[in-house]
Amino acid sequence: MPLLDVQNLFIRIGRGESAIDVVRDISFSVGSGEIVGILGESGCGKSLTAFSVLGLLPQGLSAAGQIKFDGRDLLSLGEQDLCALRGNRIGMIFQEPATALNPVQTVGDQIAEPLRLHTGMGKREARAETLHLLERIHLPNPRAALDVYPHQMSGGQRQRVVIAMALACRPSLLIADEPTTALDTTVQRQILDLLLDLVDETKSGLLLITHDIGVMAEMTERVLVMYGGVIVESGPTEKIITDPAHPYTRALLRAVPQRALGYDTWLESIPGTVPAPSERLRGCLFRSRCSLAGPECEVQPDLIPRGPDRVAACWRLPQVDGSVPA
Amino acid sequence: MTTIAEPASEARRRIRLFRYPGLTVGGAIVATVVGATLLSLVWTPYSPLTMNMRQRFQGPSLAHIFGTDQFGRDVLSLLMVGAQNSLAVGIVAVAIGLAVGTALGLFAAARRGWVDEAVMRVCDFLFAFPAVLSAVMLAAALGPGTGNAMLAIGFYNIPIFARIARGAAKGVWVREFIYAARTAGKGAVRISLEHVLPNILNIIVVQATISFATAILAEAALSYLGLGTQPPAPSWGRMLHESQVFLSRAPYLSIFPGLIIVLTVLGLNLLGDGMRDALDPRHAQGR
Repeated sequence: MPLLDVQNLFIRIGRGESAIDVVRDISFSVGSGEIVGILGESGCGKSLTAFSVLGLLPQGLSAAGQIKFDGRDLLSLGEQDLCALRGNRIGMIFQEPATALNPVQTVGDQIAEPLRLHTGMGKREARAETLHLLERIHLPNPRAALDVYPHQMSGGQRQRVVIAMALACRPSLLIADEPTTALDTTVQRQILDLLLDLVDETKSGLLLITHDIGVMAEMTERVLVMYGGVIVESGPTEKIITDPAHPYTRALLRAVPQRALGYDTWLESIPGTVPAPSERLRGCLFRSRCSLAGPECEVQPDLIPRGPDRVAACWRLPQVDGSVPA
Repeated sequence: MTTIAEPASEARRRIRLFRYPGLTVGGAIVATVVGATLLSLVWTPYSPLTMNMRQRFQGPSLAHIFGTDQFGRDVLSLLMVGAQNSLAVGIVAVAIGLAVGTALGLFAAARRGWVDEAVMRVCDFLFAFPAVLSAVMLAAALGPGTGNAMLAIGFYNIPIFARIARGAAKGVWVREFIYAARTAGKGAVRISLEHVLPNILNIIVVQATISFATAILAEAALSYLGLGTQPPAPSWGRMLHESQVFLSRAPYLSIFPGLIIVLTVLGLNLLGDGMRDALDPRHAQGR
């Protein structure tokens, strides 16, 4: 049984007739020690998907479907049970370390908080454990770091602290929402290496949300490509990078600087923007920006198997032998 | 990666007092008033309650710097002892308003929705009454006296603190570290106390200083109207009230208590404004 199993998740804004689905019918799973990525442009519902796992959707949004974590359906849990899970069994790493830390509380106290909250540790015990955590995330001079305030640290150091907070109670699932987007390239590298080491060491599952294909390629084993609130393609990362199926994935890959890969082509951009949830069309959402679009695209495509462990939602792809459903 | 900077207290110490003249001047005035008040607990130039009919209506002199009143009491001594009363009323009234109001504001901000609306509409209702009017109504209902003046003024301060705390707290609640705290599994009460409150404390402290000034004014007004401190305990407001009969004969009897009230309120307001500027990061960085 996977650690996290999301089935037919819908996320809805508003109620009744005027309700709009911002995330539509997505399913995926994350196993222990596995790194699964969600890739997509801004506003495609990646972060909402992550927050729905924690039961922390912004006001006015609701989730339907099934989110099973360790066999329990999170959507049916009450606030108290969710509080006991958050920070304890599920840890969250935020995009912007500058704002994810309380400016008026010392770093040591902030990391110790989830420990004291969930493990019943005393003040001294929690402080010792915090020091241990700071050592594990390779913060220089960890003992001094206990008593400094977030603004006295660099961005990379702060992100390490955010990671330490998320890790404090040894959660079995980590959710990282664009953990390196706000950081310098060199620091990005260090943070990603740290995350890889930690997942390796703790065997926790990691759900990594990013729009950065480079990060995706290096970190994840499997990836879900989201567009406009639906999954358009998913499968093993390596396969998707080398042989993308869906036109959107292909366009995304062409929009990555490839000089490092030996190609010397013009960087391409995808014309147009992601349609807003309110103006979503019937059928394939990508068709307004797709070079392959045809009349059949007016009907929403299903996720069609495209080889072992791979699916893509597109009518216009050449069929793959032996994997087409009857 | 760079090394970690020096501890925060170092940075705080660097806020130079003289960058904020209001803070310095206001602080000096308030310190003088508080110092004189503390001194009056153990020493006054003359006994403030002993009458001396031979020494009535003495103008300011070396022996009696602020003169003597209609009973021959030393005005400076009376003012010093009266300050105890003013400060006590100010402290208790602000404490009531701050404690209840901040709690209400934090509660409203945390609960949002109709709870928030309900709390704020009640505050709007209370706001409709001017400070002294509501204090007069309460003091009239509860009966005159120092304790009731404290209650009345404190009650008036509740919606002020509630509104300020609620507004500031709402601003904190949308910040990402609150979200981070929620992902760490914290409930609304703990988040309010441990994350929201420390982040709005500077605004609350500034408001407390300014409310302290209005509380002193309100106490003076209540005592002037006979609803505050009762005789024979000296009080700034009552000294004004008693001296107005002698306004043409001994104007200094009105001038000095009035001047002390004005100076104290001015000092507190300067202190509050100065603290607001000094604690506001936008002000601090601009310099």
